[in-house]
Amino acid sequence: MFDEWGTIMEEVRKLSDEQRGPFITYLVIDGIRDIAYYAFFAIVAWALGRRLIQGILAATREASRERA
Amino acid sequence: MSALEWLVIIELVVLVALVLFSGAGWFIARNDPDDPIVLFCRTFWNEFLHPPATGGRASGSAMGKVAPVRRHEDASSAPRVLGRNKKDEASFYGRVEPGADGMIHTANLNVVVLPDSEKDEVLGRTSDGIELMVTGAAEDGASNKAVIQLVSKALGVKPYQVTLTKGHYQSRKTVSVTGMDQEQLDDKLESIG
Repeated sequence: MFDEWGTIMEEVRKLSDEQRGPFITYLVIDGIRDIAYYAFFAIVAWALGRRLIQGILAATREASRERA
Repeated sequence: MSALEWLVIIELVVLVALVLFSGAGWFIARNDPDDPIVLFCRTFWNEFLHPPATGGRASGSAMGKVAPVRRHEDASSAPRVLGRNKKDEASFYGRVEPGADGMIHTANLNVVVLPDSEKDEVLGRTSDGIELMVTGAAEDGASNKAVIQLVSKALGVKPYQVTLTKGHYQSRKTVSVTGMDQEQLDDKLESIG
């Protein structure tokens, strides 16, 4: 990821002043979009995973208690 | 695809598998509603759809949400579904409420058992514990079950809080009582007399 970032910054330095502004704007918007996308997936994965694990653990406990 | 996306996909696959498993459980429930598979499915969906509000989070949750409360107008006619009442829930899951210091204590109690007796009864105190008489025979483990019932009743705790730790095949037994420290246990024993 940091290598990619370094390459991008290299490319940005090569651009003229007129091109640099829109490119950085695009870069920032793209970054925000990526962060929002992964934040959404992280929340979904965390919430769903937590409930799944808690549910399975509680259910296993109850089932084994009933069997005993 | 990123690891997060894979994780969500795996979770969804597990969820679908559990839906199918619950379908099988539904068929089993028609013959035996207390089958462990049925209980597993019932408890899982109850826990999944209505997760219990845990102590600290319930009062000051960051999201400001608490699990919905299910109420039955008549508790006696209610099916065996978890109420959101914290006491019912603790009882259903076999949870023990922590003490004032936030710790769950355990105390040991020595028990002398007279098996094959006329009735199940607490006879009184011994120098280091209590003496019980139980109707069950010593050989088939029935007396151990009765011992747990009697001790829990005598101490005013739930049967799941009492565990037989020593003397499974002897008349002198030791039980551990969860949710009560040694001092509280001694106080209870004082009241037994």
